This record gives sequence, C-alpha cells and structure tokens, in this order.
Amino acid sequence: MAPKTSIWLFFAPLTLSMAFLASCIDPVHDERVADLGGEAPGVRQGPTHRPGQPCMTCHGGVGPGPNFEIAGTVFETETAATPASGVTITLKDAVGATQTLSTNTAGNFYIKQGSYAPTYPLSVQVGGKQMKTTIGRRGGCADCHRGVGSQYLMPQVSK
Amino acid sequence: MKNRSSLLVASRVGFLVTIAGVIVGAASACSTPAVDGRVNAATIDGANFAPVSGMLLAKCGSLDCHGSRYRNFRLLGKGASRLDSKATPRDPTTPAEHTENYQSFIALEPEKMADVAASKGAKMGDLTVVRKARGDEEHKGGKRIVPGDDADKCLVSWFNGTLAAPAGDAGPKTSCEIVAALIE
Repeated sequence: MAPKTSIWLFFAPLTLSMAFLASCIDPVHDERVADLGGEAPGVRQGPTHRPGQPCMTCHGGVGPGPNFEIAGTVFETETAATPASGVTITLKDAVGATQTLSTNTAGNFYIKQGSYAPTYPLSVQVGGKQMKTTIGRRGGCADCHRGVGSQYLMPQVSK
Repeated sequence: MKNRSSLLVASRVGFLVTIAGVIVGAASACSTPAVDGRVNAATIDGANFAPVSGMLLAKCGSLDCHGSRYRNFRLLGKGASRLDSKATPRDPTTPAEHTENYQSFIALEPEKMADVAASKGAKMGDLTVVRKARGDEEHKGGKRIVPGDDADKCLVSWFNGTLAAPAGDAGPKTSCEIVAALIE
C-alpha cells in the first residue's frame, strides 16, 4: 500500500501542475510574438526597440512585455524607414482630457497602462496632423498603420 | 420454425418503420418555416433609428471596433467604414448608412429583437448587443454604455418610443445628440 500511495503523492501534483501550465498557453499569441522575430542587432529590449512593429502584441495585456495603454512609432514619411524623434503626440479622450507624449530617438512613444486611463473614443494628433478617425480601443498604432498600398491597412504613422 | 418466421416479420416491420421515419424526417427538414415563426421587422421602429445610429457610431463605430467591415455587427458612417467608398471618414453619415446600421442592429438576434421591441425595451437585457455594451458580458471594447447615461437613455427611448426629436441649434441637445457629438 505504501509504495502506491507514494506514487500518487508524486504524480498528482505533477499532473495538476502540467494541466495548469497547459491552460496558460495561448498558441495563437505565442505565434504572433514569434512572428515579430528577434531584436535588431545592437538594440536591447527597451523604449527604443522594434520601431514600427505592433507594440500591443507584447504590451497589450497578454505579455511578455509590460502593459501599455497607447504605443506606436512615428516615421519621417509614410514610406521612409527613418524614425521621427521629438514629435509631439496629443491624445484627447471622449471627455476632453488631454495627454501629450513625445517620440524618442527611435520614433517610439508609449504610455503605460495604469498611468493613463482615457475614456474612449480617443482622438490623436501627431505633430500637426490630426487623425481622421477616432480610436475605439486598440492603442497600438501599427495594429492598423503598417501597410503602404494595402487595401486592409493604413500607411505607417508619419509626422 | 415459428420463432424464425416471427423474427423475420419483426425485422421487416422494423425496416419499414425506419424507412418511414427517414422519409418523414427528410420531408420535415425541407419544409419552410411556419409563417408565424418569422420575425416581422415592421414592428421595430426603423424610421427613428438615425439618432440611435449616430450614438452607436460615436460609442462603437471606430475602425478598430464595429466600424470595421469584418465584424458581425457592422456600423457604417462618419469615423467608420463607408457605404460609398468615395466618402471620406469625416463626411457626415448618410441616411442610407443609417438604414444599413438599423438593418445591422436588428438582424443580430432577430427573434429576440422582436420580443424586446414588443416589450418596449423592458427586455433590453436579453439582447447580446446590449449586454456586451453594458459590460454584463465579455466584450473586448469593455463597458461602453452605463445604465442611465446618455447613450443608454438614447437606446431606451428608441425602444420605448419616447425618443425626443432633435430641437435644432436653438434647443437643448437630446441624449443621442450629446453622444454623437463625441466624434464631431
């Protein structure tokens, strides 16, 4: 009797742990993260990494990065790969509260979840350009703005 | 011998009953729904939906939400996808787009919608679209309508037939207009 009991004591927690871990896996999300590829050579994870990529894939609540409310990259033009640094982003929410951000050397800007809780819909001004439509919930610019000439996507954000 | 013949008869009867069942089943599967089982959209107020459509566009109609043409519940108009591809995002919503939004709204759960309309909105909570908008059910866009706020008043008044007519520039704004102004 004793050996059987000890086997159960060993396998029951192991099985439960494996089941718990399996329930935490989201293969679709994992694939999206993997599709972004590795970091660019010489660029460490941080505020200047991965310009132009859809930030919210990793920073949208499922991980692996910290959660952002709004994040994106501004480029010099709709087609250039040159980032636009020092561009002011003005966010105005549905109740008129405004928040300003500035792009860093990689053209990236972001604001962490918790430090900003806008009432959607949100209107956005990038430099002197006003976004023609409002944002309903998706705070990552490149979720939509990453395609030139695409029928389904808008061009990248430019100043 | 007697047992064998009775078994044979029983199996034949069973076979015939099965065939008859299949025929009856197939016939009923092909029959059209009873007339009284259809939903009559004429009972749901479409003539006064434009202000509600404007409210929905402001609350739910951005391109990353129900203003996208890839959603089951689609809204067309200002700030959303357009019916006329030549229209710009900032052009005012057209009457044809309001009509499309009405069709989209009532077609989500037509059988429940007729009930809710008949109850003058008392059963609004039966509609998935309302439960999602109120945050009572999982909704990626979160709680967009809070019971008692202007968006809710707009929807409730449309269902119960007390929707206020727009007063124009001189008069106070209706609850629907207040919300619609969010995307002005």
